[in-house]
Amino acid sequence: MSKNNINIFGSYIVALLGVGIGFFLRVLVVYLTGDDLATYITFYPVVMIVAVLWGLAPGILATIASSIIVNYWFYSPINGIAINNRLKIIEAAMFIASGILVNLVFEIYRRRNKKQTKELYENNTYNRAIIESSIEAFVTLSLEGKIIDANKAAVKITGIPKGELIGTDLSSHFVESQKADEAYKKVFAKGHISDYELTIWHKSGKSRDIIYSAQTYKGVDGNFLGILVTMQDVTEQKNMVKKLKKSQENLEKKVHDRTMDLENVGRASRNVLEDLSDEKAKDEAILESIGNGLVVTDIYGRITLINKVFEELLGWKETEARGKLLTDLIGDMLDEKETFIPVQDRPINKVLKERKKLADPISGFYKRQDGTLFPVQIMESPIFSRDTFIGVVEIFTDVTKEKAIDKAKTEFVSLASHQLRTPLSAINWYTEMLLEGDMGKLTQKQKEYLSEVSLGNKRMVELVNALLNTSRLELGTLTIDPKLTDIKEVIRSVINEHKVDIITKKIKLSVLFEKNIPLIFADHKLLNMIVENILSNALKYTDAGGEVEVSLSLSDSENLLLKISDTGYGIPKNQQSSIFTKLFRADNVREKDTTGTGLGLYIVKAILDKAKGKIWFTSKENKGSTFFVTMPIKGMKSMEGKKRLE
Amino acid sequence: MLVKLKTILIIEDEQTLLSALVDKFTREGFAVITRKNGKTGLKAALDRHPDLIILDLIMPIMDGNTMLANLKKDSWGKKSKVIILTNLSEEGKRKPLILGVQDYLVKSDIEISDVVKKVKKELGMKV
Repeated sequence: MSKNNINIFGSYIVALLGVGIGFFLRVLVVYLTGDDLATYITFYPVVMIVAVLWGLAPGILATIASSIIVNYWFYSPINGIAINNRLKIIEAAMFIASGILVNLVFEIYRRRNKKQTKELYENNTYNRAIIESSIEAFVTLSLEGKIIDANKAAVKITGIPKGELIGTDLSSHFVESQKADEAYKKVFAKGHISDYELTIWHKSGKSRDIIYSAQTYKGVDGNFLGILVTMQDVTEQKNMVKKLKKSQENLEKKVHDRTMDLENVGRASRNVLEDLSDEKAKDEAILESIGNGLVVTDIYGRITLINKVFEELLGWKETEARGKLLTDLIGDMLDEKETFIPVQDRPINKVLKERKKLADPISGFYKRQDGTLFPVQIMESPIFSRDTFIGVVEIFTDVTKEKAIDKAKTEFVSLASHQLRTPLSAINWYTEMLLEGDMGKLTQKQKEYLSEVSLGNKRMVELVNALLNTSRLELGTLTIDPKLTDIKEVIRSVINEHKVDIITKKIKLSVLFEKNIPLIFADHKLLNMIVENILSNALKYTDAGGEVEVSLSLSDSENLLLKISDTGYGIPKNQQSSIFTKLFRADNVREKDTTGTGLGLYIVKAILDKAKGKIWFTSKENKGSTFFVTMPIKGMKSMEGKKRLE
Repeated sequence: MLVKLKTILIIEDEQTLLSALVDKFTREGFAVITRKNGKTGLKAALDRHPDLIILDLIMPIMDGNTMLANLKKDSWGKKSKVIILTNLSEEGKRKPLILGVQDYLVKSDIEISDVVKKVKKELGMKV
């Protein structure tokens, strides 16, 4: 405020000084020309200059000061005070009026001008503020490409102060200066360019990525004035993009790696598959080369695979078999006795239902495509894949040959049974009749000799019977026919049969039966065979005067225990393990008695194995042996001989 | 005094055994009829109605089982007494028809005097 006042005050002084200058000039003109005409004219320029330069008030001051000086200096000495001269008063009034008018005109002009300037200034500052506050860098270039102007953002982006920036070549600030030049030229050609990617140097030596857009600007007359360049700093975005790109690349790499992994896995699986197919080929070769028929079914019993032997044995081709129910393809199955097995009882359906392996092979007959039957032995198992039931595999063997061999064996046994025993029976009966004196009285010697014949024959019968029993056990023709049996009675009868031996050998026999021995279901004949074998051994292999003890007790709640001990020869320790072996006879008894067959204990053991009984012994050579036999109270398991001898 | 002799029919294809049996049973006071196979044996049984039949199992032409089956079809045959005397020890023993016979004897395991005893016992004779 005070500054303005001083200025205003100063402008008045200047106005008065101007008037002073006008006064001296007038004095000089009068002196030079001597003419005093048009005095006021000299002051017009002064008034106008003051009015133009310092405004209305100093202008009017200058006008009034000028008119006073003219009146009192130039006119008074000649004409006195102008008041007395109407012309001079008019002249002065006109001067003052015109001076004021000039001043007013200038003032009006100045005021208008001032307003425009203010607006322009305000506009300018406003624009400038926008420009300066913009985060985009603005640079104005001259036609030569030199920087004329730059905003704060431009300073920031380059790190160079505005003063140093101006006048420099914008292109020189870019890393790719050539590209920047091209951009610059393009702007001229097209009037504008946009989104030109460049890298600008920062003073620190680092570079920043920018997007360069430019626009020419023209003057009122349409001439190019320069170029306005905007530069957007996209370093961060770029970095972000780079990061994104990098992470994307990482991702891609990972994807790639994973893909590679997968490919490796794929390759590995292909290898595995190749191995598997090798395995498969191997399996197939095995399947094809085994001599058994093989069929695999799904969980419904539909055929999924058969092998060559299956085709050969049954006459069905794989193409005919696949997908059919096994029980449909092999329409009929017969059991061992050649009776039809109902479909639901066929082994395949049992395994499908129970999902358990058959406990034992099943024998029977299968029907071929042509309707003929052949004997088979069948084994089946469920197939599980990771605990899931997926089907059944059946393997069957054509047992025609085995059957034939079995038949031959059975026939031999039958022959032995019948044909061998017939002459033995004849010898038996005839010697018996002779000995009984049916054909007249015999001499002592004749009786003696015939007794030897009879004894030899009886041994022969025993041997044949033992062999037959062995064959039956081995051929599976042994029949177990359990009936309610009193074991005590069986033991008594066996003892009774050996009465003569016991008496002649003076054997001290003791028999102990525990009370409450129940009747059990047992095969009388087999039980007899067991007791007979063990007891006869005890009697046979004990010297005269020895002791034999037979006892029967309940060994536990489920078994009966038969114990037969003697004070006989015993079994040599090194041969004890062989005692139940077929045809085995211990060395010590072989010397003493040549009549044994070596079959007795083998048969006993075999019978007990089948009848769910047990046998064991303790023995010491020359001290005696004790044999233990247990039999289940619930009885022997019924068993029908698989084949009959007829 | 007329004593009615008990008649037994022995069906046996082995001549030596048959002779021994005939010899023994005759001396024991039986009227003995013999046949050598199931077919003629069956005819004799149905014609003569013996008190007891001793039957072998393995024979030519008609075996003992078949003979027995046919015999049991006859009204008299149903009630007839039969003892099997064979050398098949046990294999044939469990056939249902044979289960219905009076006894099952194995030749090689039995003395001929015991055969007579069994027969006499069956016929309620004094042993």
